[in-house]
Amino acid sequence: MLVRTYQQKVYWLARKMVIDHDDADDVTQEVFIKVHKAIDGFREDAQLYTWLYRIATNECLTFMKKKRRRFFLPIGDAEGELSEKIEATPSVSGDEVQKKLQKALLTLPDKQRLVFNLKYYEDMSYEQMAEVTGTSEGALKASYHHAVKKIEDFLNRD
Amino acid sequence: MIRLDEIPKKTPFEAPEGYFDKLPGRIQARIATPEPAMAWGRMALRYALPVTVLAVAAFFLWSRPELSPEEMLARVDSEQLVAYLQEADLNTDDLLEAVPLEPAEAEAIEQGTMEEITLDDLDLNLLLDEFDSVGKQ
Repeated sequence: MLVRTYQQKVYWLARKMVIDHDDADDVTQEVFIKVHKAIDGFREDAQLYTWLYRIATNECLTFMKKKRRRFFLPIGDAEGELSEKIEATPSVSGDEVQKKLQKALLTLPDKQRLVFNLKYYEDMSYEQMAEVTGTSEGALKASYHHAVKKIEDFLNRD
Repeated sequence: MIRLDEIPKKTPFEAPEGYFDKLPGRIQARIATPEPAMAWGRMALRYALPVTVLAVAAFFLWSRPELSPEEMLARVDSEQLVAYLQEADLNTDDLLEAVPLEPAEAEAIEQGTMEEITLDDLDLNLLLDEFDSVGKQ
């Protein structure tokens, strides 16, 4: 029941971070397996949605770190690999503006990209984001503002 | 000048057809399959090795005279500190998380009204000299 209710939210959160469908599938499955293992310890004073999102965001960031370590990729090379995946994704590569936007997002550090995705695509409130990420609202606002500026600079580059 | 709010907001990717219909069943199958027990050798490596490393580190730390963090840092060559900071995967967001921002400061950053600090060459050289002299004390 939990899977059917939240599978799309978790999948799209992961997909926007890891780009590749198979990787997003791995992350999504891991999230729900962890949720299943931890559900007995879930404190019902917290919202299920927030709790599940916290697991999902941690899993995304952990996956990105492991991927980089596995291939000994510094940040620049990881960005290059994901950029190639964007080029190879038909739904994106045909739309020049969207392609450039997705490549702009890849220039952001993982956590900042996650914050941007939560705010821009899911319109999550800073209050909720603070509960999900364990980061202060102030830092999240600053992070999002910086992200928008960096993205716009990238979009307006030749 | 392209602005982000001028770009149509849409999910850029597509999931394979039928993916979400099959996903719950696949996850259920994984949950139902018990995980294989870890081999003793791997368990020993996983737990005994970190404990051994920690014990050795604790022995060496305990046997040295106590130094404050500042004293330990003062013993590190400033060139090594600079090299470490240059190599470290630090970014603005990591620093932002470590710094407790006042609401007014966060607001100022969000509004883009915080003045950027710019240094001319003379000020930058003075700053670097100050940094070097602190390291040599």
